[in-house]
Amino acid sequence: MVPTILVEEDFPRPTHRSGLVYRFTPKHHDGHDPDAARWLPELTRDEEFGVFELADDRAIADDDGNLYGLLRGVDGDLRDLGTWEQVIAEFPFARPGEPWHGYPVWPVNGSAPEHRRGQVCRPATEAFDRLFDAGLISRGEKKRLRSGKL
Amino acid sequence: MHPAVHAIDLGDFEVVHALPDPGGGAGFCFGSEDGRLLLTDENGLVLGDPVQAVTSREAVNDVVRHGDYLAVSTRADITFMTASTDESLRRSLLSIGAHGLAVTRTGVFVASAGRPGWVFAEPPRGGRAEPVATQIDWPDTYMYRTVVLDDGRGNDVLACAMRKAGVGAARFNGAKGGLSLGQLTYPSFVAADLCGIGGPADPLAVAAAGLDGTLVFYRDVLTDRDPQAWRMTTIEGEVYRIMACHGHLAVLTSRALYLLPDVVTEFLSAVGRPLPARGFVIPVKAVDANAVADRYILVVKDDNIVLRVDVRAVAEAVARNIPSSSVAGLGSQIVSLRGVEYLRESAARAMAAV
Repeated sequence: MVPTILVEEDFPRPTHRSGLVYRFTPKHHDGHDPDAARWLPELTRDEEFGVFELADDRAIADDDGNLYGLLRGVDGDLRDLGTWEQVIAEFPFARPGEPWHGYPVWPVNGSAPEHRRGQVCRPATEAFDRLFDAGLISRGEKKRLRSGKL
Repeated sequence: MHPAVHAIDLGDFEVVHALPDPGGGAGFCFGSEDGRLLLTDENGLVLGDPVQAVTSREAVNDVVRHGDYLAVSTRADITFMTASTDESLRRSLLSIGAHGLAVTRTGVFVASAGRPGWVFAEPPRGGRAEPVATQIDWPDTYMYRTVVLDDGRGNDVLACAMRKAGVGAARFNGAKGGLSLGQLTYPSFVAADLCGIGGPADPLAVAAAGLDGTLVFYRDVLTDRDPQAWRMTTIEGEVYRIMACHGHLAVLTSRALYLLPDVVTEFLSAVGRPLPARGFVIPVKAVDANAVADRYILVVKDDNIVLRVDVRAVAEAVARNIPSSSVAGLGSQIVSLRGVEYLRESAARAMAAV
């Protein structure tokens, strides 16, 4: 289990494909911000980084360069990544040389809090197409995810 | 395939949702992955071209009609459609995503919006160009699937599957003054879906399904604090839907459709009756399903085939012991659910329309 992350902390190595540095952030782990999506406490650092590594390795990006990843359990089913059963994680685009971070994304967009107005709080549609094209989700999973079904 | 199961092939229409014809006809309506709606007759014969209902081209996850208005929800938005005087479609949009929709008797559309709670929307009326929306949420809840029940005295009651937050219920007399939500949570119970099962004597009876196959039956979802519960021990896959149909119960999982004959009828007429030992099981990789016309379950498969399951015919086959590879023994056990009850008030907030 990942201990609560109190300070920003980088994973010990960058991604294999693009050499991206991944940073664990308290905001998406400690639960202090009720509006922030939170990684499941049961998820290890290696697993969280693995979601990012997969996203970078398979280049699962939307048109803005944000990366998307997921994780499968031993039974082959999509694993929950977030505390509210989110199964997709988003890694917002970071400029070259800057560390990346990520969080589980809600399947539907809600009314974003005032400080996040204008943000799209759900995975981009093309992300599902790219996950499917890469063979990472089945046709049925793509349809359910695109429909916002848990 | 069992003769009570009819396959509807929708070709390259990437179907993700099925429902009764919202126009009140005997046929069906299907929603696609790119925001279109398609009507068919009861046998699946396509009636006309698909309509691009959702301009964002997001996948349709629910369609509800009240009066002249059709509301179509996706994970990104809710579209209200009505025919204008020149027969073209007039649309208005609410930019909030939803998992699904319900509608009250008075025409208030109720969107299950996840963490943002319930969104109550009234379509444009009386010269207004945009819908009016109100939002009510409670901390640590997740509105996933809502049904509107009539309490038999002309009042609406909302019941909701709230995932890890359990099952919620609230009397609804309009959203502006806020709502009082009765919430029941159980350890390890993730409420995946629920459906109304009552008749005139038990208008607020509800069955809820947990992700792991636990089925919970409330005689009155507002007041019943000791619901009967069983766990389906032979169930495979994660539960997607629970549907009542003609006194029977259907449970859709990620692996199969389970039809449990007479469960609703027996729950409403007796106490403590176990789940049936035999049921009808169709292994299927489904995307979604819906009960239609108190007769069919429409199962949307991942390959654009929709299975129309005639629930009455299937239940009859099970009751008569008609040989079928789909009739299977079902294991179940009574479980004791120790719920934690909350009564939580929340105020309403007005939302910007678009």
